[in-house]
Order: sequence, then C-alpha cells, then structure tokens
Amino acid sequence: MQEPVLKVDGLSVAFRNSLAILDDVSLEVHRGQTLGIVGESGCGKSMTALAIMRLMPSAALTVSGGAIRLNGENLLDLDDEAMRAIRGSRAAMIFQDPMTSLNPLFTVGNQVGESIQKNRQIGRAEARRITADLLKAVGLPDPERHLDYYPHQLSGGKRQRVMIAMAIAGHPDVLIADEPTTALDVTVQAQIFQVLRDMQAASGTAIVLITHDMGAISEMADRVAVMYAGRVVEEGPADAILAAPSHPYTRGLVSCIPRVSDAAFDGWPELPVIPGTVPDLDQRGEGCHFAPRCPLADDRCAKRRPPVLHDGERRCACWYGMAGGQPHGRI
Amino acid sequence: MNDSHISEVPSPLREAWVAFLRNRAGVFGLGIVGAVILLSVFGPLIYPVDPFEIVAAPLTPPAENARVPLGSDYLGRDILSGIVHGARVTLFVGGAAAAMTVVIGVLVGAAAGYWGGRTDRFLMRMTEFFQVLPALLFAMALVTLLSPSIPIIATAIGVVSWPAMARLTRAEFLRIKSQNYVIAARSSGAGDLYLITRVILPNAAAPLIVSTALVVGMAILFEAGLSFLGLGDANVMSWGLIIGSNRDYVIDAWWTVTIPGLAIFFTVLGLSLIGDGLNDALNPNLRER
Repeated sequence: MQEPVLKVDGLSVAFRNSLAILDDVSLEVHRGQTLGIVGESGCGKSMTALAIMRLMPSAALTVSGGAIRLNGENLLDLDDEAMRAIRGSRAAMIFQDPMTSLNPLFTVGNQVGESIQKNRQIGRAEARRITADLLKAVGLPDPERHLDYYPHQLSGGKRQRVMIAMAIAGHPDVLIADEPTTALDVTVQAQIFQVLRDMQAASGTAIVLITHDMGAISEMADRVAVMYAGRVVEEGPADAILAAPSHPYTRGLVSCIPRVSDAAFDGWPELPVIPGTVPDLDQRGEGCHFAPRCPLADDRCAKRRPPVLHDGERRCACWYGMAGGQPHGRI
Repeated sequence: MNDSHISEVPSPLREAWVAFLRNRAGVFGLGIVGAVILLSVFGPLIYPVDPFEIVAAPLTPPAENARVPLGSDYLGRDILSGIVHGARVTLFVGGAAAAMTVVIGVLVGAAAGYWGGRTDRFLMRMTEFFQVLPALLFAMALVTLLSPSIPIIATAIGVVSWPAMARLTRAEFLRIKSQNYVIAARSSGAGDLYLITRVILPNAAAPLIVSTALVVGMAILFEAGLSFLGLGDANVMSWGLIIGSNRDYVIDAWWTVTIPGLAIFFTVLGLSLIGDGLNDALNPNLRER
C-alpha cells in the first residue's frame, strides 16, 4: 500500500510537562484523500493541527512523544529554520475565523503575493499574476480587482477563499483546514467545501479537515478520526463509521445529527444530547476519559485505559469491544 | 457588502490622513509645528541678526526700540533673533532625542514582546533600570560628565526617555503576536524578521506614532529644563538658553523669559495636538464621523 503523505504516530503533547493535552494520537492521510477530525470543543483537534505545523501557542506546551512524518520525514527532528521552510510550501493551514486571519493593513494581492515570493524567487509582477490565477482558482470573481482590496472590504466567504489561495500557493502536500467554515453561513460553507474539493482534485493535496460538524464529515471526509479529551477514540472510513459507529462517544455524536426524515407535522423530535462536558485537563484520570458521560461505563472503564481494538480498517478504543453499531459485548 | 460601491479603495494611510484633516485641533497643531519648522529653516535668512551680538541697551522692553522689537536680554542681545535662530536647535534636539527614543525603544520592545521568555525578562529588567533612574538628574550627570553640547544633550534625553517607548512597543507586540493573522502568516512560512517588520510592527504603528509626537514635545521641554539649570550649550542659541541665561532677571524683565517660554509652550502644545489628532485618526474606534 502507498505510503501516507502525513502520518502522525503516537503524538503526545503536554502542558508544563505534566498534564497531557494530546495522548498517543495516531493519524494518517494519503495523497488525494481527506481525513476528518471530529470532536467537541476542547478535545484537542486544533492542538493536533498546531502540533503538526509546530505552531504551539505557548512555550509551556511541548511535544512529549511520538512522531509526525510528512512523506516519511519526521517534522519533530527539524530545526526551526527547516520547519519554517516546510510551512507554506509542503504543509499549509487555513483557520477558523477568516475575518481576523488576514493582515488588515495590506491588500489581498500584496499579502498573497508576498507569501508566494517567500517560497519562490520571482518578481512582484509575476507574483501578482500568480496571485490573480490563484484567486480565480478559488472562485473569486474578477480576481484582478480583488487584488487591490483590503481584507475589511471582503465578506467572510471571500476572505476564506483568499486564505485558501494563500495556503495552496506553495502547492502543499498536506493542507490542514481548522474549522474552515464554522464562522461562515451554510450556503457559503458548501461553496468553500467545493473549492477545497476542486483544489484537491486538481493537485492531489491531502486534506486534514477539523470540524465538529458531522455533516461536514459525511460531505468531505474519506476517513474520520473521532477525538475525545486528547485521545483518538475511533478511527476508520467515514461512511462506515457514520453508518455504524462503535464507540459510545461517536454514537452520541452521530445520534445528534438532525435528519430531515425525522421531521414530523408537529415539529422536530427532541434531539438527543450527550450529558456533561469534556473534562478539564486536571480531571482526566487513568481510565477512559469518556467514562463519566458514557451510558455503558462501569468501574473498569473509569480505572483502566481502554484497549485499542482493530477491525479491518477501523479501530476503536473502548472496553466494550467493536460491534459496528450493534449492541456491545464485554471483552 | 456590495461590490459596486467599494470600487474606490483608499489605503489605510490615506484614510487616516483624511480623518486627521477633519480634526480641527490636530490641524491647528500641525499649523503651529509647520510654522516653527518653516521658521527654523527660513527664519535666519529673513532675519539675519546674529543672536549673540549686542545690539541694544540691556533689558530693553519690547516695542521700545525698533532694533529689538521683542526687547533685549541682560546683555542687550536681540530676543527676536534668539527666537528665530534658536528654533532650529530646539527642533533638532527634540527631533534627535525622539529619533533615538524610537530606535532604542522599538528595538528593545519588539525583541522583548516578540521572543518573550528569557529575552523578555532580561530586556525588561534593563528597561526598568533605565526607567527608575531619576531622568533629570541622570541627564544632568551625563551632560556634566561629557560636555554640554547639543548632540550630548539630545543623547541624554534619548537615554532617559526610551523605556516608556519600549514598554509601549512590547505591550503592542504581545497583543498583536497572538492575533490570527500573525499565526496565519507564520503557518504560511513567514520568518521572524518578516513577522516583526511586515506583520506586527505595521499593526502596532498607530500608538507608536502618536507617542513619538509627544516624545518630541517632551524632549523640547527637557532641553529647556537643562538650559534653565545652566546645562545647555552656551555657544548655540536655543529657546532654553534664552530662558536659562536670563533667569536672574525674571522679576525685572518678564519678557526675557516669557517670550521664549511662549515659543516653547506653543510648539509643545502643537505637538501634543498633533499627537491627539493622530490618535483619533489612526484609531478607527475614536474616529468621529
């Protein structure tokens, strides 16, 4: 089988060398494929993305173990300068809030152009021409005119397109999209996803899509990794997991998706919710982090770390086995 | 936003300039400072009387002798000539001290705010050391030890006034470096130098520009203070020197100190008004519509 473009192997990130923020996270994404990472706020999705780019927001956060291999090369072994060269050229990222992700003082053409010039020895005019092509590729109408706009003159959807243009300028092998449509409305979300899919079809870029929206997963992802409290609790092909989730947390997430077929004449049935919230860093015990909220949990779940079970292309970390959507049996 | 009505795209600087022109006090200040700059450049050509030459009886009041329209000092030197020729030195000291303040302050503050950690702690302890020095005493000591020449005086003022600029720059860098657009720029491969000079500094510029205008005014006051204490350069005419050399005659000849005092007052007022106007113009939240 082909080597994955990005392979995260047992990645752990700790706060002040004691509290684990990411705990043994393993992921992989192949060329031309999309990996969705899903979970509630505080589950470590964004932290995983920032750790891959080596953009830890604070010096108190350190990688305490594991490897991040981009085309086989461990990014954690690189010095700062080598890592800087990778960002924007081989690994790029787009962010949740396009409203604040562009430098407000420079025009679109200026910003995207300079990010192109960082990676290639080309002149200003050439960079401007390439920028116009990129803006066209991400579906901005009249790209020549948009070059001279300042970010505040663009809508959120257009700004996110500009961010995507900037991210794909260096033809990255992997593009990390951290909740790229959360700040946008639903029609714009569909357009942005279309831009990402077109870009992927044209270039074969692997995409890591971080989201809390199961709908986005079903629309975009080939594989999905469900994260909870810093661990990957379930991972596998997106359609299989959405159709038959194994882990109780994934089941909870999937059951929270409203379906049109559920609508009745007198309105919608009440959506199920998962009671409780993600535990704080210092409240995560030895056992399964989801145990306090899990309907199946018993003493063992709370005390001992669940085993990672493999079933074909899927894996799941639960004491109650993998039953592919069927009632779990104890193992 | 509709595309059709945003075809006119003013740059942020141009927009700020238009906003500044709408601020009457700021334009008034710009007028004063502009006049002082013109005076310092062309004044000596139009009014070529040597400010050190004795041209009238000592302590002649204003409007008594046509040769000294604003009166004469305790040696009989022309005060008007002192004002005209002193403007250049006064502005030079203010400008040079402010330039030094900005260069040291921004370099130290940017490094401390950007890199943080140990760099920040070291630079901030150093800044605090300079900040707690009694400014006037330190400048006096420096001027006395070296020589009371104009470059030394400007340096002394610069050395005691950069800490405030450094702290302001650091605070802005701390605020801006965690903004999304900085993280986004970093994720697209921007290096430290690029982030500092092209991403963070331009966004931090507004308060720094405002504060620079105020530093010029403060430096002019500082020079006057040193001159008043007799620590100015006695060989170069400045407004402070006129006040300083006539200080024993304040009671008998008010004009000898009042006239240069007013010149200083209005120049500093002008600079403050410019600073205020810039503050409003560069900060969209304060901009009046």
